[in-house]
Amino acid sequence: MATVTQPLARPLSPRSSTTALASRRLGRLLVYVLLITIGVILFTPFILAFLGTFKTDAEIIVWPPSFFPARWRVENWPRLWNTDVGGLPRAEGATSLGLSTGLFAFLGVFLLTGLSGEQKGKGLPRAVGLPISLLLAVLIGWASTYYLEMRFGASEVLKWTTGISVTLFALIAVGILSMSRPDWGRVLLAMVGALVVGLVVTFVFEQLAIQAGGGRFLRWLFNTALLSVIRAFVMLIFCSMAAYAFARLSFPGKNLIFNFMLASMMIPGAVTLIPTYVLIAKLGWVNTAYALIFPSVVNTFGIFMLTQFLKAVPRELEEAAFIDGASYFQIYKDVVLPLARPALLTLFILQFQGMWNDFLAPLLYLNTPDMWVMNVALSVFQQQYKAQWNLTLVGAMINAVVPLTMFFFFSRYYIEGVSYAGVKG
Amino acid sequence: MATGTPPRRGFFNNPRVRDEALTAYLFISPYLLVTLVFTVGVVLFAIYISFNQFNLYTWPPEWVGLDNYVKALALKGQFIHSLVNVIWYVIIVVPTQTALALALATLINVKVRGSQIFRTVFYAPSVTSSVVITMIFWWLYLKTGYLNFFLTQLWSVFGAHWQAVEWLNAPKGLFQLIAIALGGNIPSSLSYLRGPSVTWMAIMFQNIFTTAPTFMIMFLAALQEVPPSLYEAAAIDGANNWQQFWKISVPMLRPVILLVIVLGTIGTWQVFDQVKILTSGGPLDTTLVPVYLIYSEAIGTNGPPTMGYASAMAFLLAVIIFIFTFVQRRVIERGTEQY
Repeated sequence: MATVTQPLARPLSPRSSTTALASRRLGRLLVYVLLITIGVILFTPFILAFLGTFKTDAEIIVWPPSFFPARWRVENWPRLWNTDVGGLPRAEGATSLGLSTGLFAFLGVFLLTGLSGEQKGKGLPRAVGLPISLLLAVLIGWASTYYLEMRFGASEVLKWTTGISVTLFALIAVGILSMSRPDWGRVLLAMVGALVVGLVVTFVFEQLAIQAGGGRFLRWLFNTALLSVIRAFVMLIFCSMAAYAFARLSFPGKNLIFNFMLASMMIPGAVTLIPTYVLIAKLGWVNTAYALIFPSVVNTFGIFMLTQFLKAVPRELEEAAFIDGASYFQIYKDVVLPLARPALLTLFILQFQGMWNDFLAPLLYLNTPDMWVMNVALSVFQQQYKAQWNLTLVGAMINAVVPLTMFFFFSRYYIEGVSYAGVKG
Repeated sequence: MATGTPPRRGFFNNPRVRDEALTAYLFISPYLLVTLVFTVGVVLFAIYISFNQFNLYTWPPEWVGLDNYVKALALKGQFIHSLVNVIWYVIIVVPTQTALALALATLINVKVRGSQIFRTVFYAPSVTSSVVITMIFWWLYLKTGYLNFFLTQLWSVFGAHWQAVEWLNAPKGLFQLIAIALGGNIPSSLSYLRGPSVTWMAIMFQNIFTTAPTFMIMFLAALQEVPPSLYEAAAIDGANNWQQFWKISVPMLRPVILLVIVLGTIGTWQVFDQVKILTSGGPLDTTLVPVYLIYSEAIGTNGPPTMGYASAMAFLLAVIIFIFTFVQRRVIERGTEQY
């Protein structure tokens, strides 16, 4: 590149100014024409499909195809909504949706209310508080197996695996709070309160799932939305905690684990597909929400992205909080999470969209009509009602509306997310 | 928190160091748990079952040594056939979508009023699920669908007649069609020489349609990092837009181009959704791809499930992807050394 001797040399154009202006105008016009043409091409399939949803069963596959429907059949939309492919809501599926929601509601409430800001080490001594809360965590796990038994007489395997998973999450939460030298009376109180919240949430969401029906559109929408929200939310919590540890704390084996994590991103999904399916089948999780939630409570890419983000954030605030005597968890909760809000929102959106658009995993693990997500339902539905393209297109439109709406409101975060992905390589 | 240098000596005696480490382990414990079970455990198990005759209903697995790998690598076997198909896919889709994404990004990067709106509009189709797009394209690809209609109209402009094609059931290969057009034919025994089938190319088109905008955003983010002074300096030196693109944008974007190519390659090697929904590998296995083959063997769509065989194919696929991306990286990085 030649050295620029005059930084402000822009007016120095070799051509006369009028022709330059004209050619620039022409160039701009050309750019607009191109942009509009491409935009139209990209959106044409959606527009055609949207118009197709208002056509009759015959009109939609007739030759030659028409652009606008002869008469606007608005009733196609409620027709799909009321279609029932059969299949009652199974207790197993509904309970798994309720229980996973309840578990993470419990964890969220417990972790958020377990610490009381100022007073530390007062009240109930650690020697009493810690064992009691650990015991309580195990009891909660046991209670969840009892709940499964009570609701539908679950298989032994499912009871054990659910109980152990719940216990592990509860133990981790107690462990995290115990590192903050808390007021143990408050911890126990928060635990009981969170348990009540968790139970109510479990019951409410279980009932909602049952009310939404079995092989019906409302239920598929419910499944997809609930699974996407839970998965994105849980992933956010655990990814950000891990990212905080990797970015800020020092511990033996940190580099080893981090490098292992980076290496594991190279493993193609096809390799883990079959053994994961076998494992999930052996754990009794097929056709339950656990199959999609528990294996993905963390996401390697999410941890990596947030770690990179936190490394770039100055530490002054955290150090001030540390000097004031705040514990690591308090710093994470009160300083780091608010600071990382843009990155967290980006990750939430990416994960939500990832689950909403996922096809292979739900196809493998959720095969009863009451547990289908929209994508699976759409593909099976198309096979069953082959001729009724208008209904399939209505389904496709409803499926597309949620991600598109989210995108138009948060497009900045989407675009940041894709650019973040650029760091991945 | 690492305030100053934490004393390393006496890990268990120093409560501050110990607390920090314990907190950290607790914070990463969900990750460790999930990884141990669903990554390490699962990969080890996959290695084990790839040497076994195994499915969900026969326990214990039956040791068969390298049989699964031998079966997968048989020259006339389905796995090799699926690899040939997917290689067509990779070598057509990856360069096209990369070039298209770069072109779109360059176009949007031109500073005109409203370019933000176009950025949003262009990217929007990429946020919808591949299943939705596939459904819509399936309908567009029907024999009475809009694609045939569009081509009929286009042909009639030139006074020709377009014979409607059943896009998703057209097994004839590209080279075969060219040969037929020239008056010859390629016999069906030379299946590898017939090229990608029409159906396969229809799926490629759909995939390019959805992935190009995603990569466009990555290019756009990188383009906006290029210092404007470079373009200004070049403009003063009399470089036109075309020269500026090749001499400034492309060299500055090399790392992102590499990334887009690698990500695109990894993605295209594992294409599944479209094949599962649209063709199930047909017609005449011309869209059979490795991941679909692995899926159908593991599930048992044709006959009893053979998970060991499927695992062996998955490993071979992983090795191929790894080698392919590694070589790609080396080749492109060697190209960069000149700059």
